[in-house]
Amino acid sequence: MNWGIILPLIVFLILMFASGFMANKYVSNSKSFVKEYFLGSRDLSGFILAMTMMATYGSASSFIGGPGVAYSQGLGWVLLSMAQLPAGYFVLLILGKKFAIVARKYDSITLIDFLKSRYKSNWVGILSAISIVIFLFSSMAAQWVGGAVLIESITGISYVTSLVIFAISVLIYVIVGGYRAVAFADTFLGIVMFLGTLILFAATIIAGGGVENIMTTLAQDNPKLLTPFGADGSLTPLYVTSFWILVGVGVVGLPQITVRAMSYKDSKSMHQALIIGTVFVGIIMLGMHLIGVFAKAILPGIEVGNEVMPEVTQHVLPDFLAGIVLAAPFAAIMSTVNSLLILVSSTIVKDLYLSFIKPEANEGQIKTVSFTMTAIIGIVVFFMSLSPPDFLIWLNLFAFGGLEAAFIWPVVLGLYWKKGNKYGAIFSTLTGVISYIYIDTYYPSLFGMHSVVLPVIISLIAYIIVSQVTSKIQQLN
Amino acid sequence: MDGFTIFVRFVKIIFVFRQAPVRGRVMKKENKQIEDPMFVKDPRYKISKKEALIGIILVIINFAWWFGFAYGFGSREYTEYQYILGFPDWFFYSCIGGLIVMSTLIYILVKFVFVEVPFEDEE
Repeated sequence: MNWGIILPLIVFLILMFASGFMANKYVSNSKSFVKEYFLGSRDLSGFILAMTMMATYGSASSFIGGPGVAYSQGLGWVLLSMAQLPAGYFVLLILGKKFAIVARKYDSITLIDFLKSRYKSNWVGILSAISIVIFLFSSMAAQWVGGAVLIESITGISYVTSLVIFAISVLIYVIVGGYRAVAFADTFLGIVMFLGTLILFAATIIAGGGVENIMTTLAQDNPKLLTPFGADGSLTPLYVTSFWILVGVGVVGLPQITVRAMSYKDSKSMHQALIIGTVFVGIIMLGMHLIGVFAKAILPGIEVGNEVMPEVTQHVLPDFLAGIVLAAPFAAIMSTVNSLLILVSSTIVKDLYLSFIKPEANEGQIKTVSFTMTAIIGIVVFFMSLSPPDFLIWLNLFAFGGLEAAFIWPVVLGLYWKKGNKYGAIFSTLTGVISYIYIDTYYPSLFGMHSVVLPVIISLIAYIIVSQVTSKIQQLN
Repeated sequence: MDGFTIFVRFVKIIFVFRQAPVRGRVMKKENKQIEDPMFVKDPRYKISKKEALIGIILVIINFAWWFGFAYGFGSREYTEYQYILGFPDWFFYSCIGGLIVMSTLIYILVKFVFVEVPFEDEE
């Protein structure tokens, strides 16, 4: 039990609870409970918007997985990670002000609200809701497992206890404060992620004796580490480029990101978030993955990728700073988890329960259902994370790519192409998801690219053709 | 919960589902030609579209810079690499340079090109 490291983590948890209770004031005073609890009453300002977007996006892979791979592959993987830079500006620009305006005109609280209003179709709503719940449930569980494993490896506390700590930390402030609590927490978490990156970056360079020295050491081990092609030459331009779709541009299809594009206050906030978001995403991605590369020169013998970040942190920093820095991956996981939790909750409560089962529920009943549902989801995820069934892990693999292929065209083309209709949207979603699962399972590196590329193309074609054909048919009638 | 209750619930869901109205403040039920607020002529939409196009151009610039310096420059023999601040030149320009260029571009766009539009409708 290393108190030097645990103490900052405890302070960290307390601050997160605080954000929940601060947000609860807004919840109690809100004019519309649903709008406040699931969307923060469209009130997010620039810095908070940038932070919640970046923090929701950046998760365990940015802080632990990514640096772990960079450790083995070298600068080529850092190059790949920079494909994430557009995540800081592209979503806000492509959805942009029209999305914010239309969402207000439609009075959409969730992405599904928006899709239902745009396509005037309940089937679109149901299909989307099912996709979100299935994929994101498993994503959430995967992150919870990651979070508990992290606590366990840092503090030595047993996995189950770590999971309990993790679960309680997240559940309390999300249940109590809703979307705004998530946004506040993300702001704090984003700052932690940023500072953690900077501190560790500086410390690692110092420990390695300067960048030049590190590069020389790496070149002595394997010069390919300094090339764009990876330690074994496997990072081809085509393969790395295909990641621009998965993590750069395609993120516009992720519901947890899209919902943020309709939750901000005004144009000024959007503009501020563009700058802040891009800078923060860039620095964190570049910094963390470089740390992974540098680590190899300092601690050459690490076998397991996921151990690189915790090991190097504890090696190059004094305990107290190490505790703060180790809060960063924890922050990344938390911030992703809290967004997923409120998103799944909003889907079940607003898009399934309120839309179809009991639309006439009064505000008191909605409150009870919302709080209870969020709690229930959390508890179910907790039990699934205790001993994650294989299918959960299997589902999580498809979550990112699957959701992107499912939603990207119904959202983007729905916004800009008048002819896009519900049939196009439904077919696009179905072909996207099915082709992605199929290709990723049987032909994972088809044509040397990441498996998300083809499904995105297929779902685009489906959207366009089906919309055109069905509108022609409707015209003829 | 017995089978019949489950069945009733199921039927209720289907029935309600088929009848559930799609919500939206602007939907006027008596008007046959329902104007979708998404496609009315709103000058703010024009601005938004322009900015979306700028977004696409930005990604293209971002990608071209990133790709060009990484695989163009970086395809030489590693013995030929120059080092800037300790980093191989291809990496310095592609990743670090790319970050600086994109951040600067976005800053300039926000400062001089992007326009603030009100989101609320004047009703």
